[in-house]
Amino acid sequence: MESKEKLLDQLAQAVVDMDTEAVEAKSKEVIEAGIPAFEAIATGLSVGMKRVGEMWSRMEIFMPEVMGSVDTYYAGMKLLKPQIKVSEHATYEATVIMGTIWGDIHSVGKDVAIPVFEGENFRVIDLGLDVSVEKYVAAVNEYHPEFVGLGTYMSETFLHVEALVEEFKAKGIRDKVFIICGGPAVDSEYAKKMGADDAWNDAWEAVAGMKQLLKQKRG
Amino acid sequence: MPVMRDIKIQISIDDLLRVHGATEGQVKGKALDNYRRLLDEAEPLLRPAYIYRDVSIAETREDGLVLETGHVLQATILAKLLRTAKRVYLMCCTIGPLLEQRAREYKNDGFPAKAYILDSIGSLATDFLAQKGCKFVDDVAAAVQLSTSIPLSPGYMGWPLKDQQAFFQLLDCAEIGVALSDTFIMSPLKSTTQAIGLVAEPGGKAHKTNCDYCALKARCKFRKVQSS
Repeated sequence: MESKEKLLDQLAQAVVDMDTEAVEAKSKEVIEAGIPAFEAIATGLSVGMKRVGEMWSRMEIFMPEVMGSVDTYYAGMKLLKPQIKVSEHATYEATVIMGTIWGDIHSVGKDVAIPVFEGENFRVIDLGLDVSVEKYVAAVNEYHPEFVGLGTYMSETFLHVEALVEEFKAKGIRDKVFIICGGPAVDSEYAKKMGADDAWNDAWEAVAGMKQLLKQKRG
Repeated sequence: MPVMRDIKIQISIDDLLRVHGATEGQVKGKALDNYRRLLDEAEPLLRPAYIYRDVSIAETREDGLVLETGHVLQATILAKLLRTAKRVYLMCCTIGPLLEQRAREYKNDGFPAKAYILDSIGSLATDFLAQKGCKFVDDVAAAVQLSTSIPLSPGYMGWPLKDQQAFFQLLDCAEIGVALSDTFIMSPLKSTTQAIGLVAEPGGKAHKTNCDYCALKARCKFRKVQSS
């Protein structure tokens, strides 16, 4: 049996290498070795996604390679996530609920952003596409997230951000969450103008920005 | 109401990589193979069709158009670009439900990136089909010494999405298998509507494209020619 550190490093590297078979094999070894699943995700799979993000930032790889790693990451998650014990749940950095805003069905990279966020130890609740303001409000009340992520592709549906912010104010939940935006129809300045807290160009920039917001809030 | 189905959709690996911010030279090995395989997988799943109708414009207002049928299309951009138009072609096109079903299967099976790539192929195919529709109207216009406006769609350039209802009242979209939800989302998702005016100005589009009027401008990866 490999050492725990070596096994988790191999798991991380398999994500970078887009090697689904290796990820599945190493994930099974992890389970057989009795390594806590959350630890394997956080210091194995997620480290792999982190390395992918670093390579992306240095422009050593492009979106197609990221895509390959995303599916590999999920292949490992499929085996490891069901093994997480309830007692392991309390260690997330923050909770993010994400969805594509109503009137819009583009996933705008939401599915790519999710493993990146999870890789940085954020708990992600995916509400899907064409998500109504009522569904966002219900999700905030159910999951008590730190972040509400709004995906929007079309200039028309981006205007719904303002409506959502107003509804959150009316329900008294606006100040409880950071509202963040993603998608090609939005930038930071425009997002703030609509009453959201921020928007970033890609998932890795978003992670840095979200950590900054958390730092400001938590002091 | 005329329906066109016999359309060959062509998407290259370059087109697909471009919308994901890369070129063929930059991507190699497994990643490139994955994209090529998905492109091959997508092709037989495409069921392109479009339906269209030619409607006379009864009145051009500052904030939109009134059609001969009494329908009002409420968008300043329509009023601006179709100010000399007497007729407008309304179209609905779709690539059918199969590609999106396959993408959903991938997502449910734990392969969201494959689903995302198929989704991008679907977007490119829908765009290709919409452009075929534009070419058809261009030819109609040329035959009567007119030009065409750029194609305009609800949801873009300040045209409210609720005007999708007018398209669905005026076109028998069910004939090509397209339905509209209460939130004005079309199903199959890879469907689009467009209005193209037959305009009197020589040159019509005057070398402009939708990108010239779109808020995304140079940030959009679907745009083939980036502005300098």
